[in-house]
Amino acid sequence: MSENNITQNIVESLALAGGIKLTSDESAALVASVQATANDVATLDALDLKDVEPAIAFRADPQGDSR
Amino acid sequence: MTSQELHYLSISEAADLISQKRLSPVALTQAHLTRIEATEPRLNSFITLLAYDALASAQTAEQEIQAGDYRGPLHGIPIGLKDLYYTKGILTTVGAKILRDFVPDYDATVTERFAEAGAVLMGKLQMHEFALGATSVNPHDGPAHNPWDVDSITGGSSGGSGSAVGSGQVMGALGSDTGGSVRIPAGLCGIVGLKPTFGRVSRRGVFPLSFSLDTVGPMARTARDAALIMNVIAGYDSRDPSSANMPDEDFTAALGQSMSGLRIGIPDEFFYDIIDPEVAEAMCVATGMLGELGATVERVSIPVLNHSLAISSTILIAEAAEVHTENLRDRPQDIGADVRGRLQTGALTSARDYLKAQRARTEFNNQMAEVMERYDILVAPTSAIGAPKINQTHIEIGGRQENALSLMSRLTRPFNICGFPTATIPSGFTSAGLPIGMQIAGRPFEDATVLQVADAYEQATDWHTRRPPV
Repeated sequence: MSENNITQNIVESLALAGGIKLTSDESAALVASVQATANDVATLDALDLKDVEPAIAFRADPQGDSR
Repeated sequence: MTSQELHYLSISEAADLISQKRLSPVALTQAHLTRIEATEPRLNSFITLLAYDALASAQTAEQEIQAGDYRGPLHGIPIGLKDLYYTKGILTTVGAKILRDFVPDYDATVTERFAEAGAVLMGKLQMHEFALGATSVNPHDGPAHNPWDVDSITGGSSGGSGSAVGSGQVMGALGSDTGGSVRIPAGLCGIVGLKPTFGRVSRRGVFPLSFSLDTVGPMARTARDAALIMNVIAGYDSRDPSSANMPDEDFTAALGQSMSGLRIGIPDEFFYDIIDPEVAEAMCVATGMLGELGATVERVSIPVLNHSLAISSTILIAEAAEVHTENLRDRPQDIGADVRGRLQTGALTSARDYLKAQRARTEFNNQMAEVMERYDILVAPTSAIGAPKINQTHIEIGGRQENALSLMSRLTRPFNICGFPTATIPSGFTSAGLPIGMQIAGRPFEDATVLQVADAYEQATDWHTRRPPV
């Protein structure tokens, strides 16, 4: 969720879609941490990621290029 | 030789004596069991102690050595394994209530390699639940205690490994490092820890946390001892999809070589944003020492480091949540509150955000690779503070209340993102008597150079020879 303004309703909807059972207290507590993740990810907009592919199949490379 | 002298021997020293048949592996093991008996009530390093099996292994080693079948420097050496390494027929809890009765039916590759080397397995060591946390305050097993101050945490997630090695309960141990879980407890417990290059040590039979970040690494009291452990555990494993098909090497080969000609960079960004002034001062002195030893030391600007936490945290919690999908769905009540909250956050992280973090990781790695065209080594503090007290949440720095757990655990993250081999070595103490660690990072697959620098620093200082009061 890169959007700002995560709400408890959003958290509960996401949990429902993901099959995660949350108590009301848990979903309330998760608002802050999900918001923090969204904020973290938003900071990555500062990087120029045009034409950059994800490093999912990660390999350290002996030449120093760790893609 | 007294029992105390035995349990604080280095692996290298003990191996010399054992190979010359001047030290009995049984006596060495018994000395460590005595040490464990004396200290374990205060440290809580072990989840499973294997006293009977350890003595039997030591007797076998002694018979083999007496018969002329000496296998190498770990033969007859007491070691420990973090409790996420599979051990056939031996309880492996991963620090979790959910796995309280889990007994693997095979050995991890590193467990096999230790056995082939003749090492004596003393037991399975305490850890943060599922390795997802940096305190080793475990809700099911109690906290691991720091041997330098038993009211303080060890750091984590390999906290039992840190306290056991630091206190002389074992001579070496394995931790695992996804965001710093070898280096944080090693730094806070005053010992050496190495996060090897991603792929250098097999992860087969290691309970996963984050597939693209997990590494297996040694914890010991000297850089040479870490190198000796690497000689046993490193190497290609066709059964591990992430294993790098690289030739075997002798990780002790560069120890003792001059540092002249090595170029060392001290990053301007990230590492010194919020830091205990005593730690910053220790780093200043330590990096000055590296210059005196012959290296060229200079500051280097690496702005991409400022994105370390966003990249690392997003990838780690998303991958961990996938590992624990069934646990989150079926047994959330059996997971400790802190770990459950992180897993739930990861489960709610979108695929789009995860992929964005992985794209940023590629860019991060590209920029770090460019830096390493100019430098052989980067140096940075391991933790921004000494070990916090158990259950301490904040610490005052510069007149502000800061999050103690974040300061303790944030500085190790960058080198997991790029997979660089990175050691921590003792490099001072706070005024409260708590250890300070220094990270030494190198290019991928130049683990031996990292250990060379660590060893050279050790030879010029005495931090690693100091012993905790426990």
